[in-house]
Parts: sequence; structure tokens; C-alpha cells
Amino acid sequence: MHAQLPDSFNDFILQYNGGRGASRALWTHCRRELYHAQWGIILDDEFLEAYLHGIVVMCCDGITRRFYPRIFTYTADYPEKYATQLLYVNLTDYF
Amino acid sequence: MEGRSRRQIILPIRFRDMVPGNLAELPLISPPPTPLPSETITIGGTPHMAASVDSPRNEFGLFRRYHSDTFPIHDPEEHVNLHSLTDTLTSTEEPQAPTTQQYGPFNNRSAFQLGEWFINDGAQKSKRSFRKLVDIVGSPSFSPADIRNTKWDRIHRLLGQNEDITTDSDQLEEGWEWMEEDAGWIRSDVSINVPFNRGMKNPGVREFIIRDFYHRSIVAVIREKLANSRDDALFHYEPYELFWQPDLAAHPGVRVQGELYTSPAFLAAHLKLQKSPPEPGCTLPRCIVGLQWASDSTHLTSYGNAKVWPCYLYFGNESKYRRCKPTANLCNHVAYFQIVSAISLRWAC
Repeated sequence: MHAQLPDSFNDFILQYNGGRGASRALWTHCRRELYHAQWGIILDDEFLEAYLHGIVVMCCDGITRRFYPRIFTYTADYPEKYATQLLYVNLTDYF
Repeated sequence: MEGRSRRQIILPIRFRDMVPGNLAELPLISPPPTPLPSETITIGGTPHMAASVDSPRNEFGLFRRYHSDTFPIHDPEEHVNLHSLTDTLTSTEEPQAPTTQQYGPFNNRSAFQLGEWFINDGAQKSKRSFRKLVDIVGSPSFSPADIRNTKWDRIHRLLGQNEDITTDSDQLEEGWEWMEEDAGWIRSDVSINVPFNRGMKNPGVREFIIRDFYHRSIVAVIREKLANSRDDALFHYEPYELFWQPDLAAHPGVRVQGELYTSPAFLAAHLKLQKSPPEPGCTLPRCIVGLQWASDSTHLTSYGNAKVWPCYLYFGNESKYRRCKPTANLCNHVAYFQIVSAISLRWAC
């Protein structure tokens, strides 16, 4: 799987689980959490503000327009799709 | 007897090829819009009642239908030519000779060529690599005097750094623009909640923090894109439906799919936006910026496990042919997902 958590994550688990490592399910959960947490940072409040209210830009043709970003596609290979699939659903639910 | 006259060979129509032409230019004055009955047009599952205007057909019978009262003022198709869609044609534009400033930390072209060979040509020596070196050194533009005073150690040290570099005063004086490429990147810490279940030794939820997640502000990337005059000319502010109508009389027209800005999804988003109430007191034209994300983790070395997981951003308002053309530089790096091991750890309870 691509989203490897850092080695120190394993130490972190060992520390709080009496020297036992994380189960597969916990690893999977944490990888997904990490991926989505990073997307939470990319799609920050500034982006959500632009999504809802647009950003005003003076274009090169001299006309000022209000632009609204919209997400249309996400391209990823098969393993990455697992991590990604909830993203679009979440965003469309939000609005 | 008269010799047989030379037969003129005419290539059958099916073998004749022609270079694809542009879409027909939009007329200066828009024709009166055709009101469309609401029940016949459904876009993205939602029927709408907007009027539409059709552009003239081009030589292939392709025409555009804008769902608006008038044609847009900004017509990206006007500027399209084969050069903007493909790299295979030889470029008519001569690349600009870089000035000294553009060689970054290298003091001149000769030093840059040698340094580039050293860094990019792989760790192992090969005949091909040797020939490349000979080509560099043997070329008339190469001058050994240029590299006599090059401080290689300093250059390599500078190339290895990527942050806080502009705070160094002596580099600021030299004013390297290429260093500003790194400006705009944000470094954040990511925190996740790790659940420990009842069967584990210390049940509960603990926070785990991963440092150094590099990313860019998406809004800044969009603003940068729209302010870029080179890309702006070919940026589609308004979506349209592309139709093929080879015979004006016999055919009602077939919808042609291919670009995001001609897709039902884009058009539906555009129409939904036009129908939504505007921002208070704002009469500016409203446009959609179509974001297309991609990510793919990449091995950096043939042996070993150094990996990066970049996240890319493309704009669907640009033609897919241009996005696929490497020299158009239309791909934006917006984030590097955190995957590396042995990251400094900080945790909070």
C-alpha cells in the first residue's frame, strides 16, 4: 500500500499497547485517516470560501470575473482509489 | 501509335487525409437566441430553460452551442493552432537564450552544462554518458575559462537546500528568481486520532502528529493560473456543447464528447452557478474553474525505497491536448503526501 505511516508510528503503537504492534485493521484505518487529514489541509477554509463565494480575478483580457472552483475528476491508480473514493462524496455532501 | 497517356492517379476519398482545422470563429454579432423547450433539453439530469446560440459550422461540420444569450467575448478557440496542441511539429519559435540570471547558482552556461551532466546523467558511467560529456566539452559554446572559477561545492550545497534560502542575505542580493519557485509552499503538521480499543493495554483515543506535509494553497494556484497571460488566452471561461452536423438539411446534429469544457458535467455546473443567487451587490460574470486532480506515488531510485507521493492539479478549462503536451507546463504540483519513514514524532494526549 502506498500510504505508509512513518516508522515512528509503529513505536507509538508499541508504546501504548504494551509492546504489541498494530493490527492490520488499525494500520488501514490510520493510513486512511492520514490521507484524508492531508486532504483536509489541502482543501482548507480558504478553498471552501472560494468554492462557496468565488474569487474575483482581473483576467488578462481586462475583464474582471468571479471564479468558482469545482472538482470534476481525480485520477489515481487502483490502490490509491481506495484511499480517495470518499473524498468526492464528502465534498458534495458538504454543499 | 500514340503512347498511352500517363494516367492521373487520384487517391480515393477514404485515403485522403487532412490536418484538423479550428472550430469556426464566433461572429461578432450574436444571432438571436433560440429558445429551447425545457422538456427537450436535460443537462446533468436537470432540465433547464435557458436560450442558446449556435456558432457557424467549420469545414468538418462541427459547431458550438453556448447556453447563453450571446457568444462569449473571450474565445479560446481563436488562438488554437497545431503548435499549441502538439510537440511533434518542429517549433517555429526559437528558444530564448537564457541570461546569466537564469542559470541559477551556476555562473554561466558552461558550468551549468557540466553540472547538469554530473547530476542528471546517473551515477554509473556509460559510453553514452561519456559521449555526452565529450559533446559538452567539444561544443564551440563551451569555454574552459568559464568554469575555472566555479565553486562546485557551494553550488551542490545550494541545490540540496530548498527552504529558508531567501532569508540568507547574500543570496538575496544576487536575486535569484528560480529560488522563488519554492515560495508558496506551505509546511504543515498533520494530526490523526488513533483509536486504541478496549482489548488494548491503554484504551482510548490518542493523537499522532506527522510533521512536514508540503502543500500549496489551491486558491493561490488558481489565481496564478488566471494571471498567466500565456495560458489565459486558451483558457475556456464558458463551457459549450460541441455538435457534428455534416449535412445542414438532413441532420439535426450529433453531440461530440471529448473535452471537460464540452462535457455535460461542466455545463451542468456552469448553469447551476448562473442560476444561483449572485453575491450581494456583485454583477461580475461568474465562471467555473474545473479542477482535475491526480496522484501517483513514485519511486525515486531503482534500488531502495525512497518514494514521493505527489499530488497534481490540472485545469479542465484547458484542452486535454494541451494538458498532455509536456512543454505547455500545465501540470501543477500542489502537495506531496506524507509517506516517508522516520519522521520526528510529537504526540499529545
